[in-house]
Amino acid sequence: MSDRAGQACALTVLAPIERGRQDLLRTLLQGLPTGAESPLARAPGTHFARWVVVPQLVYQGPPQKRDELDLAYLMFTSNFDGPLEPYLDALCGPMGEAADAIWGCCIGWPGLGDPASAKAYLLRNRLATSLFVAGYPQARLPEVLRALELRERVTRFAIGAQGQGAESLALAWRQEFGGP
Amino acid sequence: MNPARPLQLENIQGALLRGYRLPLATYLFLTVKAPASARLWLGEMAEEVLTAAPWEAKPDWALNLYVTYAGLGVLGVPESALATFPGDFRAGMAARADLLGDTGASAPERWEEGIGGPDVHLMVMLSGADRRLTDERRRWLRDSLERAGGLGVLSEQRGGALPGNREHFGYADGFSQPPVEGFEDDRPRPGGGAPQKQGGWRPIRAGEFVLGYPDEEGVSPPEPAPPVLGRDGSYLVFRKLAQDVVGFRAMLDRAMDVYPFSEELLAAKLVGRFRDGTPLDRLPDGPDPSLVADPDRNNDFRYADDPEGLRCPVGAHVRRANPRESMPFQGKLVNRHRILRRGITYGPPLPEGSPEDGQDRGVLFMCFQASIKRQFEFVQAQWFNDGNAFRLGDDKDVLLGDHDGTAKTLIPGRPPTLISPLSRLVSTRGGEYFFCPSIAALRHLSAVGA
Repeated sequence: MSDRAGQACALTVLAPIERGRQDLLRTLLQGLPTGAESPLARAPGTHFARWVVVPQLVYQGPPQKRDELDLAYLMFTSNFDGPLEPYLDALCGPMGEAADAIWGCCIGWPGLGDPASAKAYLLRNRLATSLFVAGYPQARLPEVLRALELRERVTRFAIGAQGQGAESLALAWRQEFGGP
Repeated sequence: MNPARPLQLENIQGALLRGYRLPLATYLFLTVKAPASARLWLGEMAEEVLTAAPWEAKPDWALNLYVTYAGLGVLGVPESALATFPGDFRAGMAARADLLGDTGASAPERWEEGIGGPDVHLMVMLSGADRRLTDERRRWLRDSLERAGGLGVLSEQRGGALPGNREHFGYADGFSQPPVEGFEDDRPRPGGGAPQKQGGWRPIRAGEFVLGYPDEEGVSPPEPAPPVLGRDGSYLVFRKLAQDVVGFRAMLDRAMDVYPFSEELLAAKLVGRFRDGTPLDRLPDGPDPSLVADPDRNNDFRYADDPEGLRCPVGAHVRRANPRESMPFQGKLVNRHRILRRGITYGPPLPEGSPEDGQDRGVLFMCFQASIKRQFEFVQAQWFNDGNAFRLGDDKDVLLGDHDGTAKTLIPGRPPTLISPLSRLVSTRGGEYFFCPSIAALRHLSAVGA
């Protein structure tokens, strides 16, 4: 059981939502901007992360035992470039307002006025990772982004170079990517 | 698991379980102006609906009835019952535009009036064997609406099958439909339903399409309350999809500048079948009419031994729609994303080589499922309008993708070919999510709130 895969880290936080605040929280989450404006863009090294409102347990029939939650929960799960400490600092620092608004709907959130307590809150509500598979365990986010850019560039090149003879293809390749 | 009760065929609407294969269809989109009169009319029509009960002889016409979420409310279904319907259906199709790729030319702001939206409450589908009969039934239907009062016709759509079951891009269609467990022939044709470990195929559990029966997870999915309203019902997706035939042919022409083999093969590689229906996974080199004519062979393939897509490209249209055994766990999860397609083409065919004639043509797409979100929306958003599930990055289906004029698609081969740029070839002109009530539910609706 590990929250590490190569240099990648896993973090799952499950926090109880205050009664009566579930709808507000959903609206908040649904309204979060995406892309560069996403609050997660201010938590550097995030590969993949999401918040999920868990309103109730789904009964899928036997052999599962019926069980019910007294409260709805907010799950936050993230895969990111390790280690954990600076990532928690980012969640409780640069991500600031968004984190405060989101976890502010949960019971016991101390608020970012007190970052140390906020970090402790996330750690206290952390779930142990029982299985972690990372898409790119060895590559940090900037490397992944560079690889995607390169892939795009090679694809564009391939589209343009289709049907060329070996010599003109080699020339075009050197012009685009350099090399002897 | 409770033993599955037998399918209540007399209570289930016919179009849900059976493609009528009648060549003409008319769709009337209705709005309720006076609920009491509308309910009376609905009660009358409930007795005219063709059910899924076995035929002695194939009927030459059929009527089926569907209702929107707004329609349920207007007819008088109480709030407590309305709240038991799922969010996708309640939201309606226009609200799901971003998810579905209904943007740009397909955006709801540009849709035709009267196919979807809050004013559409009911839809009547009238299918017929010939023009005379269909027109006669249409007059009868319109007369009944006039007599009843309380209902207005917002729009009418008319479909007509093209010769040879072709669609407008020129491909024969309708080879592959999931067989439903417990309905008619329980032993599916090879290629229909779910692939079995030992070879062979089994039908898909009825609960994937009809509410009140176990699904592929072995449980009955949530159904709306009360049971008389939800049970034996289903959800219907209706979309009017316009096809740019000139654009499609031009794309093929341009692609032939880089594709080293025949245009016929290129057209097949994009779709996964030759135009006559020959599946590439079985015969990757050329069409074979004798195979197409043989229902035991024309759908019998799995993609399992072609992970790279050298015979049938991974991104080909029919492989995206139903990836069969090419997906993990022997394709087990694919069984959760099947739909029953019941579409019909509209508009005149465009003869080969003709310039743009300005005529509207395409398909009136319909499909039934137990969960719009898990089935239709998933297939549209994840399998057609993205490529990630197939390790194709963000490559989209050539036919249905919301291409922006820069996209590409890959035809694996030696050498591989990249077709680019791609533009949108199919535009959504309108659509809505409907509930397909059982006969008992239609009777219930005719008396609800009264």
